[in-house]
Amino acid sequence: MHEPVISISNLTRRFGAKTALNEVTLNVPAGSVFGLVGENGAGKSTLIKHILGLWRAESGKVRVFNLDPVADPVSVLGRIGYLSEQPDLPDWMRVHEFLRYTQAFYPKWDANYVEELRQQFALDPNARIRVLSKGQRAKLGLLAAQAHRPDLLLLDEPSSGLDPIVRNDILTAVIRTVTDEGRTVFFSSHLLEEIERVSDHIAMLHRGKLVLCGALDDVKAHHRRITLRFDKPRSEAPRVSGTVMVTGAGRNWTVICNSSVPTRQAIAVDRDAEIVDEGAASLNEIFIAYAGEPLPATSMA
Amino acid sequence: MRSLTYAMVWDVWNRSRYATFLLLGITVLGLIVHFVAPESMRPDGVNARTGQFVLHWVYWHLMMISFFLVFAIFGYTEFNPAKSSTGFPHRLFTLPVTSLRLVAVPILLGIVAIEFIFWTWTGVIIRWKPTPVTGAVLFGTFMVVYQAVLWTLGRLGALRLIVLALIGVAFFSADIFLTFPNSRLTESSVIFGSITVAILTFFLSWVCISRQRAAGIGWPAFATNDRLIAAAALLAPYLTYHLWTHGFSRPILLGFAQLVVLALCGVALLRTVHDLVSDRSSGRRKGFRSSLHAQFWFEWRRSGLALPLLVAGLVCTVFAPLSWIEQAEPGATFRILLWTIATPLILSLPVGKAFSKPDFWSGELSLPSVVAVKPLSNTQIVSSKMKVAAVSAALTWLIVIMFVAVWFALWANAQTATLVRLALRPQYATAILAAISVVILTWRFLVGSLWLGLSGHRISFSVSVLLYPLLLVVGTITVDWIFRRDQSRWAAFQQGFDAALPTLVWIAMIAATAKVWFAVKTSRHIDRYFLPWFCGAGCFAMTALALSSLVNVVPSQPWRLRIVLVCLGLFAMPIARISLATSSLSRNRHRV
Amino acid sequence: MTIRVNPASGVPLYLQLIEQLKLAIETGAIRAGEQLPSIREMAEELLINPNTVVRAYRDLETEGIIALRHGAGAFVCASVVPRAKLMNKAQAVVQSAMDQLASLDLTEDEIRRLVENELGGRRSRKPVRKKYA
Repeated sequence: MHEPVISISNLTRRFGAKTALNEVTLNVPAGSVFGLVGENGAGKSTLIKHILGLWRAESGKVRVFNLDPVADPVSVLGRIGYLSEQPDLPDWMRVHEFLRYTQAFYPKWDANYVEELRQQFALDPNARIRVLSKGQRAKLGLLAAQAHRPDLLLLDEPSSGLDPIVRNDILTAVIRTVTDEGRTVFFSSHLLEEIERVSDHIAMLHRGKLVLCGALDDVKAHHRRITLRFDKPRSEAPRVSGTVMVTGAGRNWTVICNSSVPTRQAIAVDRDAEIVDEGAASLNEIFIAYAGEPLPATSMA
Repeated sequence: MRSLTYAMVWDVWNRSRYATFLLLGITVLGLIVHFVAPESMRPDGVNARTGQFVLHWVYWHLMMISFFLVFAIFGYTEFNPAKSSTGFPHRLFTLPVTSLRLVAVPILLGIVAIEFIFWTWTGVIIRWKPTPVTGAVLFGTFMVVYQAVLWTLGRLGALRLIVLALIGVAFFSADIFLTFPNSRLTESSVIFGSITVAILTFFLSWVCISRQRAAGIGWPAFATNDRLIAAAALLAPYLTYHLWTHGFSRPILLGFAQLVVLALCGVALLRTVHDLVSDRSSGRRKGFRSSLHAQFWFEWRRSGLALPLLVAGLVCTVFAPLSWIEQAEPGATFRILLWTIATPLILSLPVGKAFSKPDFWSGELSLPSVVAVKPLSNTQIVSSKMKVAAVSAALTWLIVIMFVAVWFALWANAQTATLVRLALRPQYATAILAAISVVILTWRFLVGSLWLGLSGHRISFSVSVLLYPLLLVVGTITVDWIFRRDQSRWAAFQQGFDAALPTLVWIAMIAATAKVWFAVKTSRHIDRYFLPWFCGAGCFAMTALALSSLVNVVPSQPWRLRIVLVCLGLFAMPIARISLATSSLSRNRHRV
Repeated sequence: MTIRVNPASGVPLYLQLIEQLKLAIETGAIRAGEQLPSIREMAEELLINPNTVVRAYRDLETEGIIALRHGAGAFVCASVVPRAKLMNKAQAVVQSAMDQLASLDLTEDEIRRLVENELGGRRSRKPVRKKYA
């Protein structure tokens, strides 16, 4: 499969005065795990809703499986499994009714797999969805999204507010999806640790703009953190080619730079600088460098 | 494909070669006897000379045997080990022919055979006078029904014979009652009736066989009720007619048969309602047949029972007690009857407003995410809402009709009851048309605001919600002011209406033509809706025509008024709103 | 021996996995000829992208440590010379050295830098020694 599963070009979306998405262009290759990071309000959910066809592209183009999700919702949505941030499942249904209802829409529904997952997640089939806890709802939504082995698994901040066990289940689902040939996962999260573990492509949205997009290994290889110590205190930041962000004061400065050029040649600096430390920047540091503000609650696994 | 048809015909013959030979042998024997017998012994009409009597007796028995053989030959079934029941030969399903042909060949062949045998015996040999056309038609119809029952009711096994016996009794009695002097049954009505039954049964068996062929698996759990209802429906018109005219005072066997069929209807209805309503019936654990069925279930669970329960509640708490209390007064009874009939119509307006929202119970005008991300097209979502509205309307009116029937049968004021019956009896066709139109009108009110509610525009929706009661109030006041205050106003209104009628005719015709043109144009998007639209509009138009002959508003130019009313009838059926609803939903679901 | 990876450290996940697998093979936790966990099992257990596991396995195959048999899985090459005893002794040396350094109150990063610095210096002084697996 050489066609990208999702192909977005120059997508712009404004809500009144606020620009939610600003000329976003990205391509999701088939069989990959594509992670989308961004702070709250960066436009991740809006982007995912465009992929589902829930928002019509104001300007720009969105193509999923080479089809327009607005013009042809049946073909596109039949191959997508979607888990939203707050799975708005119908409160009045029971678990088994919801599964039966969802099953009718997807011919590739695997009933044995569903039963296995349902028992693993310990969901009572007769319980009304209204009485399920948040974690159980997320599990049910995940079950329904996975059950028909979709070609594209779309997760919108699936782990927000969930305990580590459910988060593990979600990650397992992601990995199981992508180990099957040709199936793709697209998920947005602000938990960088999860993204780092499972993604092989990554994109970063900041205030509607796409600041970073590429293979995760390339991104991590090209971004470096360099700590410099000068003999004499400097009043202004040192110049390093490809700098994304510089912090520090006086004699000690830390630079996050994006370049593939080896470090010693990258520093166009006075000879009295000493490289105290140099290493690959973590994704968290990269994000802060681009976004200018730390992500909320980067929690431990 | 001509050779395949011949192959199928040959197959029918091949399965029962001996019976066919026997049948032909008996017929030929009868013919020989007929031509060889001396003139004096030939039966002619109903003369009863002794020799003729013997020959007649022989002929009758041979005729009965040949009929029996025809039906035995055309019991075209085979044992299906997969379903362990006897039904349509499933090995034929793999043939490269349409299901229509599969069904048509045995049935048409059967009709041809039975008619041939019938006419040979009654026309040539026995020379029955007058020519038994009705009998021929009834036999032909019974052949169709016989094959259909054998094919579709496979699960019943031996019970099919009982069903067939009941149906046979009904056919037989239809023929007998023709000869009764005061009977309302005319020969032509029986012939038309049975031809209708034959055609309907043919289509029913076609549907069933194509389903069997496509599914390859057994019937879904619902089917028993469908079959019961279908079997009862075959007999229902005849039975209703008899109950209407004579009540239960029939010969015992027939009365018993009527009771059995009524009981079957009742059981089937209760089971259907229970299946629709209950959560836990075991048949429901199996999957839905398709995504449309699932969406229908979804919409039905949310909003389907709202109108029926509301009306049922009103009936039980208000109309029933009132009707009991006021049973002495004919005027009051009549008014209660009118209110009972008006209630579903009036209630369908506010319920329709709620219905038009994407979710019945919440005030949210955006499509719930559960539905929006399902692989459903906007047309399918709208059509499932429309289907739920139709079933809802039908159920509501069923409740009302049952209530009125029970009320009038048991405790209604005798005077009013007789008055109503006498008023309706000569116009029963109009009454039935009006009843159907009213059900369609209820459906129209339920579905009419879909285009507004599904659009997601809060402002326009709220405005429309407020507009209805406003219009109602303003309208009632205006009408009251115009007509109550001054009697001469009514006459003046009539004159004005009279004068404006020619213009009205033009306007009405242009509007109706535009509507029909629009319907044809949009019939490609909403192609499945075009046929129901056409039937509904036709129904309205026919009701308007029928009613116009009863109402005497403008005695001077009745034909003009009739044209206006017909156009109005055509106009009443919504089609623009329906196609608009789909595009509104599209704008709501894929927001700009 | 359980394999653990730390996504938050600067080292790419596939390198971490390679190092851990090499250590496991060297210390004899996985013997020559034994089968490694399948790509799917490894990915699900560690909760990492299967492509990472694929890359690690491929690199190990290029180095001649494991062999990927089509359809059967990944097997440790029989030609791997186990230096288990040696590695265990070395492990003990490293442990005692670490204890000493920890008592000097050095952080993990500082220790690593010192070790790499020392290795780098030796590398530049000594000729390249033939490497065993």
